[in-house]
Amino acid sequence: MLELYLFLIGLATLVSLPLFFLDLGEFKKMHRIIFLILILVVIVENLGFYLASNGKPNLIYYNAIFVYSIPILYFLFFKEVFQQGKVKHILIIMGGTFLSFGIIKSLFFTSFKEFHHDSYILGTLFILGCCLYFFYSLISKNLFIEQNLLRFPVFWIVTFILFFYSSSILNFASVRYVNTTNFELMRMMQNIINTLGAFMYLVFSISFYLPLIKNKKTKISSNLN
Amino acid sequence: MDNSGTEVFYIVLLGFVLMLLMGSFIVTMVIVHRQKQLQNQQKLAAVRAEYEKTIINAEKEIRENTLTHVGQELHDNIGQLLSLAKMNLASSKPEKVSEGKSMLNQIIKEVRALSKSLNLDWVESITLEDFIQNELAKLESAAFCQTEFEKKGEEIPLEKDKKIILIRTIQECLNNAIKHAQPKSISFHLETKPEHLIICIKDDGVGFDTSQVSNGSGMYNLKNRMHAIEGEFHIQSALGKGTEIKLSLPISNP
Repeated sequence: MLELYLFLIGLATLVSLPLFFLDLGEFKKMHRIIFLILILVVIVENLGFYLASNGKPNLIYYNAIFVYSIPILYFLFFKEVFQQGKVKHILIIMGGTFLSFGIIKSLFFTSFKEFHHDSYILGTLFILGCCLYFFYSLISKNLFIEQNLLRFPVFWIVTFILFFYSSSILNFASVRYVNTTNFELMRMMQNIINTLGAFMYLVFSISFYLPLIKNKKTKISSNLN
Repeated sequence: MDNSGTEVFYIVLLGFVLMLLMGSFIVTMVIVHRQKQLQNQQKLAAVRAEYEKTIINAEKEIRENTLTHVGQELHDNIGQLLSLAKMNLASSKPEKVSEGKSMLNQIIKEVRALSKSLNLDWVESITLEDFIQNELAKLESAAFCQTEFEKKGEEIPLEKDKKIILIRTIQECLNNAIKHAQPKSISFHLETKPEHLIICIKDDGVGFDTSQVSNGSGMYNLKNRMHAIEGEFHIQSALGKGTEIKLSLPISNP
């Protein structure tokens, strides 16, 4: 199952590569940020798997990338999504707060060699807040009113981020408190999270192709003319 | 064994519920967003229709104004010239006949100018400065009041729709001054700033209480028309202290 997960995230990264040579217009910067996330995920997951297989510690890398770097990249992504100056300002403050929390925690409370659950939960809550604000703006503030949601990459990306992080926060938050001797149960939970994760990363790469698909009806009518 | 079977069942059920939840969420968001889009498109169509109606009404009023002016000119100016020309041409004196012929030339010129003003092509070709000066010249020639015109900055060409609304607004402001203000003088100030066009129309007439202006009045309509072209209409007046109207329109420099 883990090998399949690693294969799928590698595939997602490869599928995202051709987009560097296509005209993505307003989505170009977002694609670059998402591709960076994919690259980091592929590297850390493969490295983590390799180190774990050889009995070596790997939590430093998970802390550095999954707990701290990826949430910061998501904040940058949302900074590109929301055009309002006030919201961008809040995202910068959120990122700064999150990093400061992480630095203080690492220096004074928890070693970087242990998984930073609290930082992960804080980062996830910030990301979930951004996702919920996106959907609230979509419905109440007529954000992206001119866009076709089904062909709008941001919609798919934010939807999958919402579901992935909603599920994973329950898993990662509770892992300290549940009976960790039931490895089979934990492995099943992890498999569900990995499945959602793999779907999410695939959607990250495929969604940027959606705006490039021309409307068939437009093509036919322009041929008739 | 049973326990782990139950756990697997619950986990699979959880996964299924999660998928169902996600699918429902996506479908709901797309449907709600599509409804909002349709509502927004209807609103935009209504605003566009309102804007076009405003332009059409302004064009109609300019035409009516022009027809009134043409009627007056035909009666006052050309009618008189034709009578004089008839008298001169009927005379036996060669110099009178010659004068009558040159009057006919003048009448032909005046009629040609009047017929040109009947279609609205002159709106596209005329500058605001020329239009204002023409209107002020009409007031001066009728000895109605003294006029003053001041210009600052280089005039920038305007879109036809905006020009129509501005011209109509200026005409209406002048008509109101003539009808109600009894001014001794009317002054125009036309200023082109980097991002705004400002027109100030000031008279020293009787003034009025601006708080008494009702929602159905002409002033209210002028305000709405200026808003339709993203402009502003401000009026300051007090009884016995004259009236000042300020029109401002955002412009983009080429």
